[in-house]
Amino acid sequence: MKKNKTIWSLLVIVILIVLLVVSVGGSNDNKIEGLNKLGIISSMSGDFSDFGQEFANGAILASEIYNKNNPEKQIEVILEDDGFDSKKALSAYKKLTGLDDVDALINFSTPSINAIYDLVQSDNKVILQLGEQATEPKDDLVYGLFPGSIHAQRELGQFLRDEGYNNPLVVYTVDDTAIRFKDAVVDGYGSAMKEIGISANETDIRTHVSKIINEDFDILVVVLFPTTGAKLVAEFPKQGVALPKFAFDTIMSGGIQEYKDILGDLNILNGSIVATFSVNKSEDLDNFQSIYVERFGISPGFLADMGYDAFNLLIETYDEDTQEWKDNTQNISYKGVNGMYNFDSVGIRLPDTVITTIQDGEIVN
Amino acid sequence: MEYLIHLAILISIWSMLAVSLNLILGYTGLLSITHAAFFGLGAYATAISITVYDINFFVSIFMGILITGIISLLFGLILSRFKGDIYALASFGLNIIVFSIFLNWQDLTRGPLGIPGINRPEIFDFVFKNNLYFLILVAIFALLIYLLSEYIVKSSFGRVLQAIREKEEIIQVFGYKTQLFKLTIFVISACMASVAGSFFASYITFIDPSTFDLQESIFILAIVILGGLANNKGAFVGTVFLILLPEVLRFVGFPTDIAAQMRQVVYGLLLVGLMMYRPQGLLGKFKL
Repeated sequence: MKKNKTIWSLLVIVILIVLLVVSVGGSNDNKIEGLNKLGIISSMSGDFSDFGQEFANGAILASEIYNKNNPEKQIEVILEDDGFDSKKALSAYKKLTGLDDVDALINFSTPSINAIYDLVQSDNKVILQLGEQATEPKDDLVYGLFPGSIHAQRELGQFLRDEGYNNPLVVYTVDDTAIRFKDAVVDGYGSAMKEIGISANETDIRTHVSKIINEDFDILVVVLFPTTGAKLVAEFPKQGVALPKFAFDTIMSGGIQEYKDILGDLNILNGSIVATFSVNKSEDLDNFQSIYVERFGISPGFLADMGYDAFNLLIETYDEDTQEWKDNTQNISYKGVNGMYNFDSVGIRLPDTVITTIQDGEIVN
Repeated sequence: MEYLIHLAILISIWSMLAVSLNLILGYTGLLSITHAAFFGLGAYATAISITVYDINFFVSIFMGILITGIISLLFGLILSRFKGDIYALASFGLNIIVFSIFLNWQDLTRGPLGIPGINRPEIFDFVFKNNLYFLILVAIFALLIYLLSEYIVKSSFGRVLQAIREKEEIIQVFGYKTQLFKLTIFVISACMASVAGSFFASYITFIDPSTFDLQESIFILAIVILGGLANNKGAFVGTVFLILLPEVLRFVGFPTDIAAQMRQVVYGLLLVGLMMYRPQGLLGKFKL
């Protein structure tokens, strides 16, 4: 009986702590003008946490540089984890907008944007979003950071058709983003392709490679997340089979570091077709890579550059008036470390696609 | 305030899941790792009913209960033959089957793309768009499920369940068809979980298969074990703790580049500590 009273007391204390924290963290009536608080919702646990962390790191790095260069106008960055889960994403959003009263938001994951989409529209805040969303893109307040890969994937499909590949096999990650990309490749190609899906959580792809080996095809189109794609490539020689002709979609170029980490070097992929985006060879890119290493001790991985660009893009476009903010974002032509940021009428970032090849272990660009 | 209402809604939904699982696990002693499947069935039934067939939310709840009832009956006919570790493994497999169906039957469920645009409940032209009203609605249903569960466990039926938990062979000697009891409570519990799924779908307005995987089943299991087996109040307490704990940890100041990971570590340590302090759960009567 005494222990039950202790438990109930504990419960009441926890609830009181939550109430206290919530009331203390409440909205500040004396709001300072401009962009003072930025909320970032990223997946730092759960699925794709490695990408989510890279994305968040990029944005944090950009904010630290900005704050160092603008001591009179600091921006507070509040990072919340969504665990690649819609429920947690909603909690993160409610906390950032309700308690922290952030001025702007950057979001990483697809489950998150799907869960908060209606709230974003009703809260009337422009949001920079990395992942694909379940609802069809339209003229709304969501602007996609990942280069409109749908456009790029279609170009890849068209390229394969134009190059005379008559019997392609596409292997793709069973994930909403990758499925859209795969569908776009097939759409660009103009007719059906043989398809093999690999679960996003799959760690053992031996069976899938065995399946691929038994198929008849003239080119293997890879629409896989980087780690899975690299493991797929590595598996062929393990099964004593020569590598097929590959065509990689845009995900590969963004996740090139993962490929290098797993394969050692990319010389085994010489001659492979790669859809990528025109590389920004500016000093900014080299500079980003070196400052990232200095700050985090590792090379920037997939999506770190887009996190970095997202923060800086927001600095360029933010306005307290939402329509102005939206217009600024719609009309921007911003050169980031990931390349140019221009948006079409439905908020998809227009890609500057290059269909190229891998030579001497590097993507020719 | 919105944030608090949001947490209260999550607590209401997950307490339905915990109370319903407690009927199987706590009162009947069957380690079922398939609850997320029934949660998902209810959610998808509501999502498809609303978005494709324009069926009212409250009717979709009954659709969900019907579909989940049929599927859980079929599952239960298999599961009720087992007990102990075999029951757990079989239920584990069933969860994976249902998740695979959600993921791969793309014509029906849209697979990983999920189903967006699920409307809020509406009755007589009144739409529960305001989260406070939605909270009142879901809390009423949570209370109904709690009361139903209490009624079941305090009835003679409930006493048989607890006897099955203690020693199934002995109760069989008295002529009780224990498989039938296990089957019945499995179906009832599944239908309750389906109701939670319907509310979840309507609240989040988007569902996809990733919410209804094995991890979710384990999370619900953790709530029941932490709260205390064979105690519905314990199921509620466990829900409050496990829903609020990660939220409280959001306010703990860790460096941003390791904050998420540190919160996971602290969360895990707190759970381990709680189980060391109270291995039977916070309000439980016996250990698993």
